[in-house]
Amino acid sequence: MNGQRPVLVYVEDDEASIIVMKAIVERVMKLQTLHVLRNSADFMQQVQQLGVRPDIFLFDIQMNPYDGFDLLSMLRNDPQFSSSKVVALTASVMSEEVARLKQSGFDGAIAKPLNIEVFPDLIAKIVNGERVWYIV
Amino acid sequence: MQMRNSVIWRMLAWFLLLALIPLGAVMIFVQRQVNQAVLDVELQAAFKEARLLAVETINHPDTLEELTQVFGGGEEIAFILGTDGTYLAHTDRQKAGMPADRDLSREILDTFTSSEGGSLDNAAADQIIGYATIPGDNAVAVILKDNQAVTDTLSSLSRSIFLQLSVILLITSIVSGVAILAVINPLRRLANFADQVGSGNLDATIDQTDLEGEIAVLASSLSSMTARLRDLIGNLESKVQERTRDLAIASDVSRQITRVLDMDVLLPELVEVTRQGFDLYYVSLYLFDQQREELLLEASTGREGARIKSEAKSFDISARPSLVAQVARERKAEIINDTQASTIHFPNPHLPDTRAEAAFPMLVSDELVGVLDLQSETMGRFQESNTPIFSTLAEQIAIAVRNAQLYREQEHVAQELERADLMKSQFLASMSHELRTPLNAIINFTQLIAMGVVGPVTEDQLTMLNTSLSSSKHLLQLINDVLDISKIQAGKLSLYIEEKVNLGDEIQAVVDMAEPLLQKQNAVLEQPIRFIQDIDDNLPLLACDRRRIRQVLLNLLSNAIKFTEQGSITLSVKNREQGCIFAVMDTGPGIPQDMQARIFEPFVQAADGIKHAQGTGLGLPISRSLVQAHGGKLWVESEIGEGTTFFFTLPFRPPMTS
Repeated sequence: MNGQRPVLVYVEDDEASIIVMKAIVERVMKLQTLHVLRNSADFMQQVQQLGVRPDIFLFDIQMNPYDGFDLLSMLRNDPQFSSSKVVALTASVMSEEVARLKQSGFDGAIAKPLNIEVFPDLIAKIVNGERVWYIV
Repeated sequence: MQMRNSVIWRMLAWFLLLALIPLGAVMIFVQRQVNQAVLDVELQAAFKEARLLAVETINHPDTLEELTQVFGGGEEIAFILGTDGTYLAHTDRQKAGMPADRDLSREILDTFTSSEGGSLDNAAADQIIGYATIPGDNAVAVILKDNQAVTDTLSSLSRSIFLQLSVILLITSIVSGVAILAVINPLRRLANFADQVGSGNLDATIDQTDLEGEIAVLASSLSSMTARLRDLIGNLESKVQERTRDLAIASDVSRQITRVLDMDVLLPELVEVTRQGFDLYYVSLYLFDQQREELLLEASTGREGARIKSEAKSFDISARPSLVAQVARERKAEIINDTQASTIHFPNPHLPDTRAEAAFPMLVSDELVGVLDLQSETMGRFQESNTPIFSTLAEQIAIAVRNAQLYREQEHVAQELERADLMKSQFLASMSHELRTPLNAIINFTQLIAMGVVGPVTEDQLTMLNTSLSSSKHLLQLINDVLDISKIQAGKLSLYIEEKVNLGDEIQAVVDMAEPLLQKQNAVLEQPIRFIQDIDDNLPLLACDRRRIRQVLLNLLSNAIKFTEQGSITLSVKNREQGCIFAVMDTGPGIPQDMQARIFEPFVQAADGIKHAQGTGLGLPISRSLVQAHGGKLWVESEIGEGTTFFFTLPFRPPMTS
């Protein structure tokens, strides 16, 4: 790692979404700080093994065995990651799921499909401590 | 009885007393008559004697004294009374020459001289006096009889007669009394007995000792009649009791069965309760399959029943020679009261003790549901008199079975519906995830390629990529709209209400999203469409679901852009007392009157093939539902050729959320 910021950790089990994210971060945003975790099992262990403290966690919500909500509560229980931002990436347009995301303590949510033009700005805002709810 | 006897004796005494009074009166009357008759005879006799004395006196004037002696004597006195009032001769010699007025009253003496002869009754001295004038001599011959003796004789005679009559009467009375008692007492006993029987005491008895003759016959037949009556009523009571018990069991069974709707629980309970209740050997229940015209043993009692059921197969009702099959065919109850002598009875090796069998069709409005089969170890167990109860029971069971069947069907339907509903929800959830995940990837890949991220793109390629991108977005919008409309139609639309939403920010966000669309539209038009904003400065902070309000506003604006080719589009938001009123006005072709209501129905746009059909046809119905969920209204005003204005209101706070 080259000490670039922000460090992003993307937890996603859909390969196509991973390719999209990599293209956006590495080719559009020109960042080499994206870490992808392809499954949610042993999540905390995998995070520890990264050897770097992530600035932003990007969670897919619908995953097995642990979903985005489970991962959030694991992180929140570890003081090591208290300053890390946690953002949900959701394809859901259901109001109740958005409400649940907010209530669970996510720092923001970004709708899928990603708006590639806006996404870099959103990440910047989040790094600055803003809460971002880019749902519509 | 003692009381009644004493009454009888008292009545007898009264009878005697009452009989004696007329008897006495009659006796007195008779005595009077007799006395009078005797008196008359005496008086005649006295007159005749006196006349005889007078004749003798004429014939024998010298023997007056002797004559008075002859005529007198004993109770009689004879004398000759001279004109001077002295006795010329007298039975009592010493009286001769003495004046008569010493013995007789002046009145009587005067009577002697007043007529030639006669007689009189000197009742005062109890004397009968006969007198006759002696012709020529002017003397009077008198016979004076002392009547005391006669009266005494007569009185004693009457007394004796009266006494004898009384005795006779008494004896008669006693005899008849005894006779009456001899009849009346048993009659009274009979009456008493009949009385008790009549008042319902059939256990009354009659003491037949010392009864004789007709009374004894009467008593014995009355007694035997009572005994028969007692038997009859006793029998009737036991029959009624039996019937009541049967009815109680039947109603008990009915009550139990109507409560249970699960047939697997219902039927085994049913046959067991019936068997126990009616004390039967074996009870079984067959259900009828209408389509296949087959019966299948569904429930049976006891261990033998379980064995029979395990071996049972459904059988065609026309094929098998059994009572159950016959009943199913004819839909009529059948009884075999001696199974060993019957040709219809189908002997079952598991039921060796069956001696009587009865089968009843289970009918619900003439439709065969099954057959109830009863078997007993007692020959002649099933009689005409007790079959109606079983028929009724079979009907009740039929209804219960039909109810249970209907319930089972209903339950099945309900489960299906529930499953369908669950499937729909699951389908929606998987639509949301499985459909959109690849679509999202497609959209993002297309975007990345179009952006030249993966390499240079030619104009042709870019055009195709953009078309592909907009089609993909349209598809995604369609998916999202279908999800929304499904939620709305299922009544599961829920809002995420946030407090103090700054409407100005939200409106600006929507305008930012709409402007690229407008620019794209203007790019192909000669005269660009003007976008006018007429938004109040002092818009309130209100409670709403921001995403949903943006969705509505964006839908209306993008519709306006889509349908307008010249003129302007005006977005107006006004602060009103109840909340805000939004208007999106265009100078498009307008919507015909008959379409203005229909555009709020799902899929109408697509179905009618209106041009610019780039939408899903769900935007307006969804928008209207979203506004209504906020407690507002969404409506349209339009003139053909003039343009269209969509209005919607947004209250400060949606209803039922605080």
